[in-house]
Amino acid sequence: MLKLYRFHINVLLSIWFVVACLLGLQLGLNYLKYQSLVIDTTSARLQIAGSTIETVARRAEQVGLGLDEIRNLDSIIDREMRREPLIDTIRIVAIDGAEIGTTANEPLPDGDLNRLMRRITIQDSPTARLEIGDTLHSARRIIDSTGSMIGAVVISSHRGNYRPEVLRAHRETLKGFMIVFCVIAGAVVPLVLFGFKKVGRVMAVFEEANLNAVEPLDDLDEDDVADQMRALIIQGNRAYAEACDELEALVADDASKTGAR
Amino acid sequence: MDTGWQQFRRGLSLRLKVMVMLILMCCGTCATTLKLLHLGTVLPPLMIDRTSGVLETMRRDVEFAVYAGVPIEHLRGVPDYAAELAAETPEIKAINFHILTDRDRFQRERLIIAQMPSGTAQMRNTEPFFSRLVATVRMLVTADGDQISEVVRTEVRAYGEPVAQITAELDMGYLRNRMLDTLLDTLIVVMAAILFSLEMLMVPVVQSLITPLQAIQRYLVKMGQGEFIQSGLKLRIGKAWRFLAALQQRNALLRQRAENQAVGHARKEARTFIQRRLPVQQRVTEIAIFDARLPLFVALFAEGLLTAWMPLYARSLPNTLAPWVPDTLAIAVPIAMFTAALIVAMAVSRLWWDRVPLRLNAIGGLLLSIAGLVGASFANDIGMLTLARAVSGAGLGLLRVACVDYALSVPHHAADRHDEDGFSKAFLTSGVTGLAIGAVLADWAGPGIVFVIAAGVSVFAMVISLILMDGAIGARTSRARTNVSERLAPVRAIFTNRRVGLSVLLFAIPLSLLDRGFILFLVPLALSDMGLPQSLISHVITAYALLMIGGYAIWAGILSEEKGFVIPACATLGLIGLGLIALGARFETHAWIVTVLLVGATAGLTRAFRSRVLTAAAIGEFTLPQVEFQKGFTFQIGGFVGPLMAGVIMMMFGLEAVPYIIGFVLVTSTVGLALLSFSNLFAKELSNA
Repeated sequence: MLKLYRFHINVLLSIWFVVACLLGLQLGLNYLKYQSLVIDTTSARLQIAGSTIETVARRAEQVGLGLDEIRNLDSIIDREMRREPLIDTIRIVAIDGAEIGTTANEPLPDGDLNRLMRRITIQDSPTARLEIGDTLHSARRIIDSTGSMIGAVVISSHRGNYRPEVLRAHRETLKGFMIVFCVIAGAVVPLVLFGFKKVGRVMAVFEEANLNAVEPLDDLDEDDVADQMRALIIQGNRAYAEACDELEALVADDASKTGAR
Repeated sequence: MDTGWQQFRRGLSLRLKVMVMLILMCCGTCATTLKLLHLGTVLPPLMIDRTSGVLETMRRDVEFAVYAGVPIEHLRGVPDYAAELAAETPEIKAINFHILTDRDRFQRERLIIAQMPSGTAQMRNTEPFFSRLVATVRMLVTADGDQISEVVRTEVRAYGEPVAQITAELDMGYLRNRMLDTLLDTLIVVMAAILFSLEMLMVPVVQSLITPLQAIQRYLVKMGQGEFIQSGLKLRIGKAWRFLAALQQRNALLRQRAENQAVGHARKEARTFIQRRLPVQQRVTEIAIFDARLPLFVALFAEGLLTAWMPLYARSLPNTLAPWVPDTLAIAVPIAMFTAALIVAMAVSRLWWDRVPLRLNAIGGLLLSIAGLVGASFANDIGMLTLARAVSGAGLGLLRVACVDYALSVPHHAADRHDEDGFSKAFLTSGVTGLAIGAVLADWAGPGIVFVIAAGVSVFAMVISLILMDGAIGARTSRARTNVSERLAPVRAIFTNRRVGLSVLLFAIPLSLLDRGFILFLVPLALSDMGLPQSLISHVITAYALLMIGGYAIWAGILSEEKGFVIPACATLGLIGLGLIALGARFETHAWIVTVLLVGATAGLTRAFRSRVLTAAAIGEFTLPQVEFQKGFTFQIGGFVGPLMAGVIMMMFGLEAVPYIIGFVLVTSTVGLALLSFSNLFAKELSNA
C-alpha cells in the first residue's frame, strides 16, 4: 500500500509552492498588462478633449496669439470637462511650466509636472501618460507653426474611474487560476506517491526495522537501495550482537576474577 | 552497493525533474489558455473604445471645419488625416471617410444594422467556454486578420443632419500579435520557472532525503565493520532520522555498559574494547556547498532581472555625468561601474576577511545590493543610476566572495562532485532565468517595478543566507585564517601563471566581450534603433539566453565525459567572430536577430569549453571553488571592459563598428589559440579540456 512519508510531503509542498508561484507570477503579469491596456484606453479617451483644446490653441497661435492670449480658453476647458465624465481636471501648461488655464484648485506639484513634461519632451509620440499616486495624468504637446513645443494640455483622471474594471477582470482571472491550482495540486498527489514508490520502500525499511534480526535475507536485490539497507541493518545487528557477546565475556571474566580473589 | 545507491539518487533526481517539468508545463498551458481567453474577451472592447476615441477626435475636427463654413464636399486633406490617425493607432487597420448622399441617408439605418461578421463577438464572456476557446485558437492560427474583423462607425453632423460617416476597421492582427506576445512571454516565464524551481526547490528536497540516508548508510557500514560510533549529526524530524536516533541510542547503551566495565578488574580489556569498538565520536561538520549556493543563486537571479533592458533604460535617462562624457558612452557607464565596483569589492573585502564571519559578509553584501536596487528605482538620471548600480555591484562582490569562501570551507569529504558542479552552474542558471523573467517583467510593468522586485528577491536571499549559512564559519575557523596572499592566489595567477593568463586572455575575456559588450549591451540598442519594440527586443535576448543555457547544459555534460573538442570549440569561436564582422556590414533587423540566435545556439559550446579550459589550466594548483572564484573574477573583467569598449567604439566610429571590432577580437583569439595548440606552451591544457 502506498504511504505518505515526510519526503513525499516535502515534494508535494515544494511542487505546490512552485505551481502557486508560477500562477501568481502569471496572474500578476496579467494584471499589470491589463491595467496598462486600460490606462492606455482611458488616456486615449482623455486625449479626445486634449486634441480639441490643442487644435484651438494651434489655430490661435496661427493667427498670432500666444497661449495666454486665448480669451475663451476657460470656457473651452469647461465644455470639454462636461463632455467627458472621466476627466477630473484639465490644465494648460506653458513650456516654462506656468499653468495658463486650469480647472484644478491647486497647481500640479513641481516634481510631478517636471516628470510629465520631461516624458512628453523626450518621446516621439505627441502624447504621454503618467500615473502618480491615485491620479492618471495624460498630456498632449501643443506645437506652434514652426513645429516647436510651446506647452501641453494635461488632463487628469482619478484612478477610481477605471480601476474597478481592472479589478473585476482580475477577479475573474483569479478564479480561473484558483481552479487550475486546485486541479493540478490534486493531480500531483497520486503522481508523487507512485513516482517515488522506491523512497516509500526505503522508508518502510526504517519503519519496520527489527534491531534484533540477524537472519540473512533470502531474496536480496543488490541494486535495490531498500534491500541494501535491510542487509546493512542485519549486518549491523549481527556485529552488534557479536560486540555484546564480547562484552558479556569481559563481564564474565571480570566476575570470575573478582570471585577468585 | 554504490551502483545501486547512485542509480537511486540519479533516478530520484531525474523523476523529480521530469515531474516538475511536466507539472509546470501543464500549469503553463492552463495559465496561457486562461490568459489568452481573458485577452480575447477584454481586448476587443478596449480596442473598440480606443478606436471610438480616435473617431470622435476626427469627427470633432471635421465638424469644426464644417461649422467654420467649409462645405463638407470641399474639405481637403481628410484622407491624409485619416491615414495619419490610423498609422498612429496600432489597433486601427484603416479609417474611411464617406460623405453621405441622399440615397445613403435613406439607407443609413440599414447600413448600421448590417454589421460585418464579428469574430470577436464569439470571444466574449457570455459565450460558452469552448466556443471562446475555439475562437481564440482560430484567431491565433489565422494568418490573415481580414477573416475576422470588426468595424466602428461614427457620424459627422452639421446642424443636426448627418453629412458624413467615418468608419474604422479594427486590426485584428493587432489582437493576434498581442496574443502571440502573451504566448511567448508565458512560455519564457514557464521555462525560466522550471530552471529556477529545479535549482531552488528540487535540490533541497533531494538533499533532505539523501543526507539522512547517506548518514544511515555510513553508520550501518561502520557498524557492520564492528565500529559503533556516534554520527555526530544533528537529528531532525522524519522516519530516517528517528531510525538513526534509535541506532545511536542502542550504541550509547553499549558504550555505557563498556564504560561501567572499564572501572572494574577487566579495565584494560574494557578500554581496549571501547577503543576498538566504540571509537571517540568524530566531529561531523554539517555545512554544505548548497548552503552558500542557494543565497548566491537567488541574489544573482535578482541581478539578472535587470540585465536585458539596462542599456535601453540608461539611454532613456538624461546624461548628468559630466559635460565631457558623450551620451553614447554614458549609456555604458552604469553597466561598467556595476562590474568595476564588483571587482573592487571582491579584492578589497580581503582586508577584513579574517575578522568577520562569512555569513555576516554575505548579509552585508546583500544589504548593499538591496540599497543599490532601491536607489536605482528612484534614479532620475544616469549619474544617480551609476551610483546606485555601483553600490549594488559592491554588494554582489562581497556576497560572491563570501559564498565562494563558504564553499571552500566545506571539508572535501563532505562536498561531492555533484555539489561542486552545481555551484558553478548556479552562476549561469540564475543569470539566465533572471534575464528571461526580467525582460518580460520590464516589458509588462516597466523598469521601476523590476528594480523593486529585484530588491524584494534580494531580501529573500538574505533570509535564506540567515537560515542556511552557518554563522560560525569564517572568522573563527582555521581555514579562514589563511593569509591574504594565499587567498588572492587564484586572482594573482591570472597575471603570473602563464597557463592561466593565456586561457583568460584568449578565451575568457573575448567571450565575456561577446556576451556583455555585444549581446547584452549593443544588441538592445541596435534593435531599438532599428525600430523594434521593447517586447520583441526582450524576446530576442531571452531566446539567446535560453538557447545558450540549453547548449551549455548539453555541452557541459559532454565535455565532462569526453575530451578533444579543441577544434570544434575554437572553430565556433572563430565563426562567431567572422559572423560579427559580416554583421557589421548589414544593419538590418533580420540579420541581427538571426545572428544573435545563431550566437546563442553556438555559445553553449564555447562557454562550456571556456569553463573546461580555465579549469584545466588552474585545477592542478587550486581547488575547484578557487577555480570558480578565478573564473568569476575573469568574467567580470570582460563584463567591465565589454560595455565600455562598445561605448567608446560607438562614440568614435558609430554603432555599426562595434560588431566589426568584437568580431576581430574573437578571430584574433581563435588564431592565437590555434597557434598555441601547436606549441608546447598551451597544448596540454587545451587537450586536457
